[in-house]
Amino acid sequence: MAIPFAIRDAFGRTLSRLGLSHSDLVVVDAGCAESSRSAYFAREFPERFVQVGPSPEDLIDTAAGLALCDKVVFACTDGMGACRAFESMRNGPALDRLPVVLFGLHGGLAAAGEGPANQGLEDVALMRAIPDLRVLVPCDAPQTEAVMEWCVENEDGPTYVRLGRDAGVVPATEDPLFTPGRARLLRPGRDICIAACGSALVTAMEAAEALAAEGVDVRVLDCVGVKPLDEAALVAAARDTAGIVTVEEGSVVGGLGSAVCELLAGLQPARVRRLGVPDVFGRSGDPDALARRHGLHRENVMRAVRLLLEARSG
Amino acid sequence: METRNPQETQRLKAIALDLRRRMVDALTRASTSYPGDSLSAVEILTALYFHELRANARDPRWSERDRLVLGNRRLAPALYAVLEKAEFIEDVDLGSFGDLESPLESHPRRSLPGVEASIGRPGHALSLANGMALAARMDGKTHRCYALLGEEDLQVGSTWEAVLTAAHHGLGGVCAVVNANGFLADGATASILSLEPLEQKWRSFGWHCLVVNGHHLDDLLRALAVARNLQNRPSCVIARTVWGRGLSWLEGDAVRHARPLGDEDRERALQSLDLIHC
Repeated sequence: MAIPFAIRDAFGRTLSRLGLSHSDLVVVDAGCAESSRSAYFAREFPERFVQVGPSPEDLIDTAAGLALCDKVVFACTDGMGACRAFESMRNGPALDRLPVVLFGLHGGLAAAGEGPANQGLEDVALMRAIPDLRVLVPCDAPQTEAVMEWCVENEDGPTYVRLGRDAGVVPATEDPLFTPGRARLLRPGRDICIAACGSALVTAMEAAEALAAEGVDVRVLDCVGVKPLDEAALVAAARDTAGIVTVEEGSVVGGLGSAVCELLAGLQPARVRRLGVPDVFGRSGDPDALARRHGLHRENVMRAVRLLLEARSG
Repeated sequence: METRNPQETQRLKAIALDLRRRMVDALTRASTSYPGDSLSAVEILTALYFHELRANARDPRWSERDRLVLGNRRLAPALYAVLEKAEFIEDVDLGSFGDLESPLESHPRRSLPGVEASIGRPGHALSLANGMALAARMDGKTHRCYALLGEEDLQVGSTWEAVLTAAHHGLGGVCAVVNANGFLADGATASILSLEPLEQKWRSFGWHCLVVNGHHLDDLLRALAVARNLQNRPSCVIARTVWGRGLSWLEGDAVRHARPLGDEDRERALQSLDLIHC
């Protein structure tokens, strides 16, 4: 059961906690402090909080200036704003390898209520194309906290973190919530694999459980790291199962699904079905209803799995 | 106008002349267009690097140093000549500018000692300077943060976002120096996208703003000193300059002279430099 604003609340609380433990952490916000919950940090550490107004380019360029002076910077905007910050991220923190973490909050279909112009569905695709930029899409509040804890310690270069729709909490495993470069194996399986990131992972697990009842053994991979991907895990899934269904709450063009196809085409060609927003604009509406309209609900994931299995046996 | 310190002025003038000679030699060997931008900024860079900026060429990352962020990539040849003369870099061939294996890339790279950030496009420099000034404030440091902007920077919206930000946060440690030489890649600024009245624009955004002849070293030094003493507001020095300053046949004529300088220009150029006085 999804708790509204769970991811954002976790983001805000974790910012405060990290602000206490890391005196070099600075937060820059592009006019969304209350909705992003960066306001929690602002109230406790006003001297380390910078509001620049709704200007994603000024956000990142200012963050770069801070990072050039030995700060670790968390920069907050929405998913669509992150797209506008593309050039600044590329030619600043990425080109000069600076510890700037851009959070695209309210990303994917989380912004369904704000209409198609505000649904940043292309953010992962854009950020993935930038060299030396890590791209992470955590699935729930606990993983968001784990990603943030890693980011504040990482000074090797910039990161883009997309925070999306609250869809619930993915059942934990023994593995750490986040290991850079590694996909989390949420469910071992030999028949087929579902690789997902973000809120789509919750749906992926639901689909896998339902399919298990039908005798289909589904492997579920949490691809929180869209860049870099866990090559070994995906190659093994392609080798050991009938194929991979990718699920993401973003465009099918250029995101996780595309990244998986690019990887496997070169190393381990496999059947892949990409689920996501099918290269169309969204509409204003309830996020859950819009996800269903774009085929990101449990039944459609199950259908995609069955189609792949049929193709394999046909 | 009375000279502040005649000896200092003469010292800086000699530096500026030497920089132009080094640049002309390099520009005739390197394949770079728009030599006039670099030539227009020589006095500005001389005033900054050889008088104003607190820096240490032996320790380019000295934490207390003043920061200078270069916004206009076409000033790169001038910057490299300055960094060589100021001994931030050595054993480099200025004429290798833009070559595949040269550390002197077409726009400055942070990997080069004395360069703060790898800026290659307009619209970023002032925000970076703001970020640096904010960091200084957080750390209780007093170093200053300069952004050397071209007119292209002022035609890009993100620069004005930074102007708003600096004013809103009272960043007295920020000084924008605008090299206003009147030309862009496509021709005269006034005919492409006019910036005037420029001084009033900066003032209306809450900045302190001075306008000087960008080739008059005393005026530049005076303006930078005034800016340095302002604590609660950012400041802008608009330096009116001449494109191609120093090479008489280039001056103020970017449209006809956008091509790189060649070997055939070197003799004429060096003679022309011997004739100029600021």
